[in-house]
Amino acid sequence: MSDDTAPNLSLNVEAELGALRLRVALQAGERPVAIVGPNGSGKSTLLRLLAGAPIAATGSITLDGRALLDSERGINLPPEARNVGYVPQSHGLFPHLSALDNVAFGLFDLAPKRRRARALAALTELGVAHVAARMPAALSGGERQRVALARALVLQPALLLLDEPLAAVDVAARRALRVLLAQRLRALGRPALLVTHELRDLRAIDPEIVVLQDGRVVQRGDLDALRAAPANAFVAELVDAEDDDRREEPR
Amino acid sequence: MRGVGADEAEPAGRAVGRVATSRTGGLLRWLGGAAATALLLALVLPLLALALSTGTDELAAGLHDPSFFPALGLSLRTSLWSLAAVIAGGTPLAYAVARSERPSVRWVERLVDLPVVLPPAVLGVGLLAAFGRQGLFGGGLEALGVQVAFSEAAVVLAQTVVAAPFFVQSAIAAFRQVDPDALLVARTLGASAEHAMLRVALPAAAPGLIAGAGLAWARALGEFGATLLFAGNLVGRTQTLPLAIYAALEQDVRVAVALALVLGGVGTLLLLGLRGLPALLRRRSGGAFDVG
Repeated sequence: MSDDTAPNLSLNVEAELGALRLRVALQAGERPVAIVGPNGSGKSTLLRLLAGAPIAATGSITLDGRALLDSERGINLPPEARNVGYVPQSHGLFPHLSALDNVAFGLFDLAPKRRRARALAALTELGVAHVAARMPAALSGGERQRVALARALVLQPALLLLDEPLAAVDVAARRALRVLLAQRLRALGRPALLVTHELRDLRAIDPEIVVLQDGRVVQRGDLDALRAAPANAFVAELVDAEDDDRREEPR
Repeated sequence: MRGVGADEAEPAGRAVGRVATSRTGGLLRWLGGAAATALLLALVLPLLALALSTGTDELAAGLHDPSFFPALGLSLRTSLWSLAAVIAGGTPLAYAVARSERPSVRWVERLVDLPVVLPPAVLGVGLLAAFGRQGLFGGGLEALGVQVAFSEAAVVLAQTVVAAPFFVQSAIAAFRQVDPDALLVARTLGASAEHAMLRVALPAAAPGLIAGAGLAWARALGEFGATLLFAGNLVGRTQTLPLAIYAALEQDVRVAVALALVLGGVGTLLLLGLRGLPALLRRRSGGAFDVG
């Protein structure tokens, strides 16, 4: 699906939301980008902004050469025109629709039969075909996450946004989902931004890491670069935590 | 049991304190239970007394009273019209209030509650002041050949004003429960804002909307004070079932009791139906999609 090594996504935005002043510039190609940072640093806001939530912002967002946002030219595409897949922290599953209908929601130009087949195939790829008929309330955290992921991926979005994809998943299911997620992201061939707190996620996915604090990027690089020269106490603690959790989880 | 040693003096004291607390606690619990039971009885007593004091003869006499069927028909017709008006205007209003983050929506919510705290008589006179012959719009409407006061339209208007808050508040609460991120996801999946509202917010909020509609309908069906003042008590034109009860009471108590029993029965059925409907809907949608 993708062309070259040129960045598919580039953004340079400024937004104000309550007490938060977000000012971020970044680019992403096929390698996933992980946004890390303390609570309230603007991680989720950044993803919502990319998804097209009504947040007043200036600057530009370009995806595959197409302007999603260009405040100078007065362009701000609505979410439905962006071709972006979004998995919020809450999963955002539609409570009145079965897992299958949730995934089929966005496939409205297909005939009903093909629609169901495509949705079922997407659920199968994420290992949750067996819950197709179930309602979201009857799913476990891990199943919900997989269904939400299937729903985002089934439309083959040009950009994938994942907000803490493993946070609401219990420990037993987390490792398997982490492996699956890393695989999916590697095979995606599209830019993906994910918010995470977990260093194990960072190790498994091996993304470019962007550290966000108070709405600004304070450091970027891969895990090794961050460990070699942490920019501040927060990043240093992140590296410490990694040593801790390696001890916790012997291989 | 009682400790005598110095070490146990304090725990013993605490135990005494505990006994005293549990004694007042027991008294409080007893009083509370008695008061709660009395209130509960008072709540069901009117309907119970109606049912017990109405024999089949009285019921038949009431149902054969010439005012019964016109009043029942008018009540059903006007209350359904007002329910339609309440839902048509209340749904978008509640959605806008629930989705808005502006502090000024608090004032809109308070305005919506106004008819609940205002006495129906005040609302009735207020509506007359607006639409009566001498009212604010009365002259203008009369020039157009429209007379609102003392017409069926007045009945609908009075019911709409009185019933709307029950639906709107319930709908606001229901829409607030819808995950805003789910709506954003719906948009990223290709749905327009209107599409997301119709296909995600509305069905997700449906149980609360249905419950609110039921309350509003029951309230419209029972509206009395504002209707009497604004629409009058004209048999066949503006005499709804509650007004027919009032009129019958002056002639034949038995008829009034029979009519009241019918109206009370309809209200009770509505309440029971509403409690069951959301669960039924959920169950149905739960098993709807079988994967072939």
